[in-house]
Amino acid sequence: MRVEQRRSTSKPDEGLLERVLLAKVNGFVAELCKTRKTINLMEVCGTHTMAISGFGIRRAVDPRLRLLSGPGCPVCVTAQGEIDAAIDIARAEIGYSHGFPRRRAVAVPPVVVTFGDMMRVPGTQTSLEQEKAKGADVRVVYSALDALRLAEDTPDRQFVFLGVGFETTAPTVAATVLAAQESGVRNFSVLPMFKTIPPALDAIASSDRVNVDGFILPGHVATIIGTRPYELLRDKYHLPSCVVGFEALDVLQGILMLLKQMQTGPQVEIQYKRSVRPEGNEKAREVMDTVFRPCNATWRGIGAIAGSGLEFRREFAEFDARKRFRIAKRRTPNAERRTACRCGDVMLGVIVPPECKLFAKTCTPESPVGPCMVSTEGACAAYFKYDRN
Amino acid sequence: MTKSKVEMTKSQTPEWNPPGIFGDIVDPRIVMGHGAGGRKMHRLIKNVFVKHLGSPALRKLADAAVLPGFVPKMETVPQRGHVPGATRQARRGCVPRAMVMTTDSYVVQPLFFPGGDIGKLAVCGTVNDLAVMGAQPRFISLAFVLREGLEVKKLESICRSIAAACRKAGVQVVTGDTKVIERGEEEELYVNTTGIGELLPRAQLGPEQVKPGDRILINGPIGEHEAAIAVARGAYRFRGKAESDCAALDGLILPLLAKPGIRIMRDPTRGGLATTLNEFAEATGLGFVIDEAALPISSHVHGVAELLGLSPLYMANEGKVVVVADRKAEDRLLAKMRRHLLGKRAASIGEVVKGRAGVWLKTRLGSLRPLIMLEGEQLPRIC
Repeated sequence: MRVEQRRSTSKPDEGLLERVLLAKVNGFVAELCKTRKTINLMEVCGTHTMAISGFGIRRAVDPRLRLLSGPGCPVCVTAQGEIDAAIDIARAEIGYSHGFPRRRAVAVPPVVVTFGDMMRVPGTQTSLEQEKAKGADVRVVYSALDALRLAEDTPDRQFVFLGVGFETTAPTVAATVLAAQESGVRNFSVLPMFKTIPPALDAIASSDRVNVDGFILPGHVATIIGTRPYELLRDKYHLPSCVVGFEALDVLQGILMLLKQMQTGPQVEIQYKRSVRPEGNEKAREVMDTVFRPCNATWRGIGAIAGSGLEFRREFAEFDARKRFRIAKRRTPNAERRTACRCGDVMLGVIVPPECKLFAKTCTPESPVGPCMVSTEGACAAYFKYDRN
Repeated sequence: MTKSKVEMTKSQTPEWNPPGIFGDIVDPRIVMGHGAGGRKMHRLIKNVFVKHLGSPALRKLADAAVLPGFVPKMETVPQRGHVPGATRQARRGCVPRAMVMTTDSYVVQPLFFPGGDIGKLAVCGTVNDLAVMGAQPRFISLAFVLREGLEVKKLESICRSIAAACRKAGVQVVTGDTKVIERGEEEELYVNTTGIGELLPRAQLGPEQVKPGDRILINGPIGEHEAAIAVARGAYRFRGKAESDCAALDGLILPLLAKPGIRIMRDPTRGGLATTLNEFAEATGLGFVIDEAALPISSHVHGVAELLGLSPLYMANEGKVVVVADRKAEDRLLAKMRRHLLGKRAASIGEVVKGRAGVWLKTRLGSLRPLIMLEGEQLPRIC
């Protein structure tokens, strides 16, 4: 009976490899902690946040190994002012320009097209989900190309895609813009809110408040940009770093590689070899560079980081929703509500979410106060979902 | 870190009501998340429906209500006989039966999907809600809301599958209603059903029956329905063999009740297995620990879930039943389920524990992590 049950549900050695690796990791931690109190490794990718919590890794490792979540969730670090801009578009509180008659009253509000996890993120007043309930046309897609297809199917309405994400999503959006240009689609535009990871890592590593012993680098981002941009972690800050995949085994192996580096000296290693090449994906970068150029950007909870955003190049300005709908660039830091929220400290790895006074009390996924709670892959949301005792 | 210790002691008491989690805040407007089976929906039900309409039967918030006027005294029920034979014998002896009633609406899009259609889904869903309460489904009503422009051919096809599903489950459609609404963008048809069944004499199910040490069983792999719908919607343009598990479970469930041992059952539809277990945990105040390695999940569901950034634990099922049963009855029930076509991949997935309230997932690494009820819809993630 028992044997039959096992065969039908799981292999007998289910989880064996994971447990062996885990034991190795814990062995290394014990070894390293003879000379130090804790080891702080920071990950900067929402999928890592989810994997570390979801696979139960955080709960399984020696508590002296602290796995911190940096600013790895593009939704979380999207400034409130940018969300407000998206909501303004959905509400049609805008004025047309750029190829359209000036100050034309907007009879038909544009359709806002977005990835799912932007829906619930609150701006200063309301969220896209609430606006949709009030009648705004907000649609969820899985790729920017789907948004373009929607625009092609309904030529008499304007479609605005919310360009959120890191170097992983930016090339796909850039490719979509190129496709739109080629097919002459006039009713498609993008509200760019992209962020790039290396400047953020630079900012974190250079901050004197931060106490990070090594970086778990995002596998997906590195697939595009390669490992060269991360070399400053080794050369400038002498910190171990490793590009890591997203399965439980990947993460554990990556942690192990980082711990070994702590003994033998910092490098930029690749654990996620099945996807990442040191030179990255040149084609994707080329597409991205054709359409976008770096700009300064504000990270919610952290502040302005020079050169960490992407904006449209002049040749593609017609696809910029900000220009098309004449949306003023707000001074986003001022738009933030001031609270006791310590998301900035969470994202810099100064504290872990439960150390924040608001965590799970006034700040919950239902009524989030800070950016790390707003998206499902934010550090606080992951702690709330998986790591609350 | 002292803070997290405080949290721990708090969360172990089931009455713990942190603000915004079970709190009384209801959004000013209905959003899609209110229909997703998670906390948002439970809060809406509690703070709007139960507040104004709460009868003793409604307050139990079960899948179906045992109608108060018809509850027989237990001594009038014949003790011999087998299920469902017992029901027939009892009818011959004119013993009043407890009636069980449920209602449900179906708005699935697309109307036809691999493994079923809205008609089959409506009958199966209603039958399952009755069966998990320990009732033999008898009668069903159907109220159609049709959109102007719907092809009659489609309607007929749906009615054919309703008829087939009813025949299979031994229920009769006894009354119905038709309304037509103006042409809109998407849905072409909605169905509302009411189901009435007879409570089986041996069915003594309820959260109060659940004891620490009980085992948690499920009759097959999870997430199949939602995966099939996601593929059928075609928005992601991937192909696969994903087929809905949509099925009437009365034939599987009711014979299990012939002997005692089952504490409570529920069909994990919207919100999936994790949500159903959370409902159990809230109703019983006990802890439900499930073993990640023992969870039956088909590879194609795993693939769809991975691509869309969803978790199979929260994905909807339409032909699954979660059974909480006495540890001693575990092997017997599993063997019996596996002999049935709909229980071939039945598995024992966890157990009920004391002192650790809530739902917990034992990961492959051996750590225990909470499995909370989702707030609203599962939203696809960006990266």
